[in-house]
Amino acid sequence: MDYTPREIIASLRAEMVDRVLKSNTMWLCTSCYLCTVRCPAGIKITDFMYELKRLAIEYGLGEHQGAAILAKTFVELVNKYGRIPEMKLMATYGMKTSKTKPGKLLSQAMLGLKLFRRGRLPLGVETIKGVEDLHKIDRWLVSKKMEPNLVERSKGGEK
Amino acid sequence: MDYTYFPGCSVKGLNKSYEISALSASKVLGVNLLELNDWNCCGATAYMSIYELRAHILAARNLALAEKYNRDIATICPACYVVLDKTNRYICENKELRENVNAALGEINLKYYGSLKVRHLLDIIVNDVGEEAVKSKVTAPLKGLKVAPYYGCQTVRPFGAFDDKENPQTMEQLLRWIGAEPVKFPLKAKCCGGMQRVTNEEAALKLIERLLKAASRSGADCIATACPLCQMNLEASQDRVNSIFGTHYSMPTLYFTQLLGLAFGRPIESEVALGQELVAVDKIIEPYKVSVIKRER
Ligand code: SF4
Repeated sequence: MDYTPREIIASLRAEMVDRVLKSNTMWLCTSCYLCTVRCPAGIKITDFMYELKRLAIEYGLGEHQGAAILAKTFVELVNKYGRIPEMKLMATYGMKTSKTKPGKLLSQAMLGLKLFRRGRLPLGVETIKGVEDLHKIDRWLVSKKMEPNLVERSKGGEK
Repeated sequence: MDYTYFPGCSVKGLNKSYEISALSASKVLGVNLLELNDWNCCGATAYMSIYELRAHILAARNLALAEKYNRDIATICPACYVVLDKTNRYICENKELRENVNAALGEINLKYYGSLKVRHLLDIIVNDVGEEAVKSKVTAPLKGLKVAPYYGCQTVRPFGAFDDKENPQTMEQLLRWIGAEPVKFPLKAKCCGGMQRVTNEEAALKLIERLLKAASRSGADCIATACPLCQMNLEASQDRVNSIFGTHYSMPTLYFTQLLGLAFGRPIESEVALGQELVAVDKIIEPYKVSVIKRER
């Protein structure tokens, strides 16, 4: 971790926003909420970490972070199917990071094989009926400029 | 007792054994889990990392769909539990967020009034069903089975709605009711590394190794979890941990609902959903399985 949460807060107070947004700190946050329940000042640190992730993405500073790539892939798949096909998530992530982390794809494939042998791999991908509704909301949000569109949308319904 | 059941993607995918065993144990206990029609992904931790408002809307669509039934929402995946509960609370506390979410939902003729409660099955079984009813269903008490109760993070944090945020007790209670022996497991509400196992394996394996070490040292025969991600991380990473740390862990990791099914004498494969483990459980379930077979004759 580049900086601890304390250092992050101190850096922001010192207006070192760049340094914070370029760091890997928030991308290592698992949302365990331990800091949130312990913070004596009642700061919702976990929510704050989410905010930093979103800012880093918005300013194009998180592109190389594994957790950012995974989160984007996740969003793409939810937008497409309305649910997450886990194997597809892992496979797509493995492909996207195969250049920077060549071992990853292989180790994911090995795990997939083990799970397959135990009969744990799910079959096809389900698309929910409401996926068009999700797209409708999305178009509305964009038209109202209520939230930027940071992840390319893909058409729903494909298997 | 009727609940609107929100399964979540994970238990429909790689972790079906959680859902199968949860549905079976619930049925035995008279907990009626009615699956929400056409639910969408809660968004987990990932969606919120990219979009804030959209993430709340995604969760709120489920809440709005569920509201017409006017029953508590029952979850089994702690990530779904926290995401839905958080949006539920934030919508109620924050007028601006509520208005924005409802304006968006209005586009698809939905509205969320904020009347629901989001619960976890562990809470429901311990607090709504209760000791007497659980005990009355036990046909094969798990006597002598030492279990490390592992809650993970999000079962109790951030809200601690039904248990202590750092030193929870409900799973131990439940384990005692079914005759098992919960061991002292101080890391019970510490993080398993979550999705970092995929994105930053080194960091995650350190956390996982710590948990496996603590569980082994506590003398546990197995770990009980309430979370599909914890189950996957703890069970599927043991090979990796062993090869990197030079350890020899072989710690069965089951869902608490599977232990319930075992104690209730349910069919091992079709309802307790055992048989797909990566770390064999035969040795630890053998004594209880025998009594099941005897009883069935
Ligand atoms: S929630 Fe807080 S304690 Fe947990 S990983 Fe994130 S920053 Fe660290």
